Amino acid sequence: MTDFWSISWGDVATVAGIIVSLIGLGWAIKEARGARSASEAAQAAASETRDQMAHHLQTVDLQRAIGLIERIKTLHDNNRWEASTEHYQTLRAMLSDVIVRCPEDQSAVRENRAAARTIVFGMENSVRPRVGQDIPERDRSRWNRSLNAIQSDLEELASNVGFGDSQGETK
Amino acid sequence: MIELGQILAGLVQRTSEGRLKWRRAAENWQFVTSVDAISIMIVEIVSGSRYRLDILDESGDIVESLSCEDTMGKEDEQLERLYVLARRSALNIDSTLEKLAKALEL
Repeated sequence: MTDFWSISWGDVATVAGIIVSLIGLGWAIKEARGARSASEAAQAAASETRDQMAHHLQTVDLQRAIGLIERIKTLHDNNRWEASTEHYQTLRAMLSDVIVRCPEDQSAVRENRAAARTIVFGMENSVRPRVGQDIPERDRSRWNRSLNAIQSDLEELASNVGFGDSQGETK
Repeated sequence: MIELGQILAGLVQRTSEGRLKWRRAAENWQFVTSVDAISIMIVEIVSGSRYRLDILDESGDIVESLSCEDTMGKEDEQLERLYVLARRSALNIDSTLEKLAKALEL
């Protein structure tokens, strides 16, 4: 027995080394697979969220809202205040529609649109009693600034959910 | 049943802690924030003395309002405090003052 160890200890050590290496390799492969599946899971989650948003929101709805904002700004610029009052409510309804179609877990998205809808509500209440009056330039530019912010926000939403080619122009 | 006064106190607390971000609305004296699809608007009715809190539901309709007349003076201070805090939040006043102080090496 002593002879065996004295003669073969090198072989035993080699075999043991191979076993340890194989265990290490197995561990490394397992870790790599875990990392890949975590990365894939994150990608799948992001893709799922995007698909969910795209499923609920329609490009055409967002583009219509963006187009209506453009129309309201033009009416403001041309002092057509009475005509503009006919569109605030439609815009609010469009924003409500976007909120309703937005998944419930996207609270930041819903909050931004709800705030935008309230801003339009306030704008309508400011403009309506002043139809026929001379509205100062500072008021017009403040309202158009608010509309620009809402428009940009909707354009960003459109591009974030993968709708891409949002054409709304910001003045 | 939840009282509007409790909601007002909650709004003051959350805003003072910086957990509620306000935006300027259509006028310089109106500020708005939202919690999910529910919006809250604080309005200065008379400069420096009278304020109104509007709560708009998920459809965008006003469902509750609280003004100095309703509170009979009970919540005047809270309404004013909320207006001041909302204005500071919406106009980023703290950040502007910090930059100014830094520039002045204060």
